[in-house]
Amino acid sequence: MGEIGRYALLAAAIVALYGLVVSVLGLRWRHGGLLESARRAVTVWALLIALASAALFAAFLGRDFSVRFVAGASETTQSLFYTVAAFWGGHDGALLLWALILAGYMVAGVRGLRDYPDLQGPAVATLFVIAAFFSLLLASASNPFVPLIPPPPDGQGLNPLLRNPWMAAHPPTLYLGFVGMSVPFALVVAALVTGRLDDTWILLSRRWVILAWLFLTLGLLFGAKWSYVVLGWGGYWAWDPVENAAFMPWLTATAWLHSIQIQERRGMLATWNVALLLITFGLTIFGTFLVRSGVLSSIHAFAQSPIGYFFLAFLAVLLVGSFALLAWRWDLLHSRGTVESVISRETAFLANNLLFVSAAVVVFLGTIFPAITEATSGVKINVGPGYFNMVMVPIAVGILLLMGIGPLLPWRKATPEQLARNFTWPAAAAVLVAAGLAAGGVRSTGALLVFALVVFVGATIALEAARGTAVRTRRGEPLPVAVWRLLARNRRRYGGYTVHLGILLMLVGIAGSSAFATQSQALLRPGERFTAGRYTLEFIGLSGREEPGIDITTATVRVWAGARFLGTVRPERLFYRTQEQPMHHVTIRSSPREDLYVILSEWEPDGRAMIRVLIHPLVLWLWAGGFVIALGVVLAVLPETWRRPVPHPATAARGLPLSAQGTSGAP
Amino acid sequence: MIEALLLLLSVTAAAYLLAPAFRRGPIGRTDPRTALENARVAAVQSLRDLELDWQTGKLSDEDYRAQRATLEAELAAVGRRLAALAEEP
Amino acid sequence: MTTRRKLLIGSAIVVLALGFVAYQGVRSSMVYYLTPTEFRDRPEIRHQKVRLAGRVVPGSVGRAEGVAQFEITDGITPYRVRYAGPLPDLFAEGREVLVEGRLDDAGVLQASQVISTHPPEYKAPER
Repeated sequence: MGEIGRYALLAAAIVALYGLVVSVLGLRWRHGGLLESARRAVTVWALLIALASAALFAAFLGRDFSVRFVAGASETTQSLFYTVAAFWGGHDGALLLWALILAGYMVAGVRGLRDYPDLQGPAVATLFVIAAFFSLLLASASNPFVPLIPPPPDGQGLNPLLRNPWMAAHPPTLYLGFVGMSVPFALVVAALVTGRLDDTWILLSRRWVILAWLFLTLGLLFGAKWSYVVLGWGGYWAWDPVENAAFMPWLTATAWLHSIQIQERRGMLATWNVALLLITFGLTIFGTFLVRSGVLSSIHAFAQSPIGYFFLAFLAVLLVGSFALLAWRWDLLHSRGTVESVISRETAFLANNLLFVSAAVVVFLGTIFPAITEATSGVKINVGPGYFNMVMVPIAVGILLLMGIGPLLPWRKATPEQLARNFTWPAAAAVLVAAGLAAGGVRSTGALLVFALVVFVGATIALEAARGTAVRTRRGEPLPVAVWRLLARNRRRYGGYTVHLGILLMLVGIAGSSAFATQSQALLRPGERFTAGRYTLEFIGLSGREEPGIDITTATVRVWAGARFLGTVRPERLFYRTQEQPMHHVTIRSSPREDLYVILSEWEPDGRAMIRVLIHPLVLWLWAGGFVIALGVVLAVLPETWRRPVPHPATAARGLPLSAQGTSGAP
Repeated sequence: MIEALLLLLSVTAAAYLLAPAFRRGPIGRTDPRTALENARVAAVQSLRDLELDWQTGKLSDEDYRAQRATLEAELAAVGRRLAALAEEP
Repeated sequence: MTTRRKLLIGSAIVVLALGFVAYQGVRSSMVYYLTPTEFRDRPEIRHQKVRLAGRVVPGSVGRAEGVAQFEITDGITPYRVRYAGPLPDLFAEGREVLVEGRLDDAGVLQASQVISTHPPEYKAPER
């Protein structure tokens, strides 16, 4: 398998370079044949990457330990599932997965541009710049098919910490998000090169960005879930640089998805939208660089491996090149409108962008702070989670407030009467709930503020949906039909609101679990009980067993809530012999109210065990929010065209079918 | 055996890639109607949004009428240009 | 005052406020990140909060009633560490760990956090 893989990666590198050269020459000489050849190179490159990936899969399935990467990430006792997931359980395989995903996006993206031949050429060239970089890396410094001679009798096995379904799903999802930004990036570069800077590129890239954004969101959530379930400390987010690397493009992509609406509706911010997308793509490459170059553990990683320099050079070429194009086309990107009033949806979107981009800058500075201080003063100075929380909490509160206000503000300007009409009820509901919670004993100001704002935003969305439905029911439509049509005819709007609802749920989970988490631990003899919050736990005893390659110690613990018996939980401590590594299997009893998280920490030779209990209120809502977000995105990207009658230019010129149905529904 | 297959694969791929490279042809142009059609769809969408915003009470009647007039004028302009293109062969 | 100017002033206020909060955040949460030898050679930060990266000295680990004591070293300078809390999964004799805390007067690092380095999936390739 190794030699097929090496061949495929070498050939892929050659084809990528060929595609890059041919597409650039084809554009320069305006030579259609060369561009056709470049389009074919996209297919051939994708097939070669697929062949290399298939070879790596086959090597894993056949346990071919003559391939070093396979020997390093699998062993004979490893289950089929984790043998497959080991593909991206190490650096080189992860890069190959990156390339495989790029191959898929490239084929789909180039196909999607069939109707735009003038944009297609430059887009193909841009995508080949990215493809060539990763191909060269895979064919040289990060080749997963480097042979291992002589092959060992057994591999080292996948890191036990990675043997978890969430961790198996995390890298592919995250890469789908990262790499998904390549197609919009290619589109905006194509628009800059050709000077076609009307709204076409926005229209074409919007869906790609929404899709990539969804994958980024899910990838972040899967990583958080993994951390929560596996690492045994009960946390899901630590402002770790690896997490930040994925969070930054998420922030700027979110900003972009909002700011393009100003361009679409009011013809403003054309330059900003181009720049924001370039930055977002740059951040995805920067994130890959952070994770893959080893610069995080030390900038000395540069001395140990050339990959850091490759990435930095690539990033520099991309950013300098694309911003030079932007500067060259600056004059074509003029604004058609202006903000007319401070109280308008335009302002809300601008403020949204200010906050999201500030958040990205804050995370960026915090992440690279150690590298900066090490480069300037020779000492690494880390900033801890304290820094991130201090700055991000006010930003999040601001964004939450805008999430409630923005959608209810009209474009151009709002009058005070409208504001009163739209915000009285939601604000009253928020104050009422906050007062109720405070009376009920909730003391954390931060959590109260977040809960109140969540209610405020939720109420504005409910009010908005209710009014939209009312417009239709007044016209005589039965309620279910009215709701269905409202959603179906305004998918983007209600898809967006659904995503907002998902974010609200997540914030409830985050606020609840960070403000009210409690933990306790006790060293217990078999038969002893201890109380944690409203729970009573009785430690029954320890037992041991063996599985291939793993020694397992299990604690049996019976749990009561008050007088009610909830059941028996069995937290475990595992010891992986090959890797000489211990690991936890925590048990989590999840309910909408709170998670009861039980850990077997350690034990004494006399049979006493240290049991740790964490109680995390409302965590479930964090994951539930992820599902709602996914639903909203699906609603938003479903094609709206299927209901639209075939357009006829003459009717379009005269007016719209909606003018007949619309004006009768005056409020 | 594997070497022979890989060689065959390389030759096929090279032939497939190079075949069109020597035919000199023009670069395709995007149909101007595509961009206009996109603009028309966007304008229809904006009007529908405006309509819903007004129906749900976010805009005053006066602002609604003014914005609606602007958008309808835009739409009409796009429609005229589309019609002009349709009449050309 | 034009709308544009109002927006610019508003943005400037927001950015300045965030900058101020960020500055406070850095001041309150910064931690020196060094090897034991670098730490020894910098007496001026002897009582600052530090994060030391080192290997757990084999045979030095002792645990009693939830309190762990061990030594870390970079091969040159060892430091004794005392930590009351759950040790991470990857913690083992001979492994790399990060220890965050302050040095007490007896020269023992009173750790507030012991962190194992990230799983190899995130490490630089070792060539």
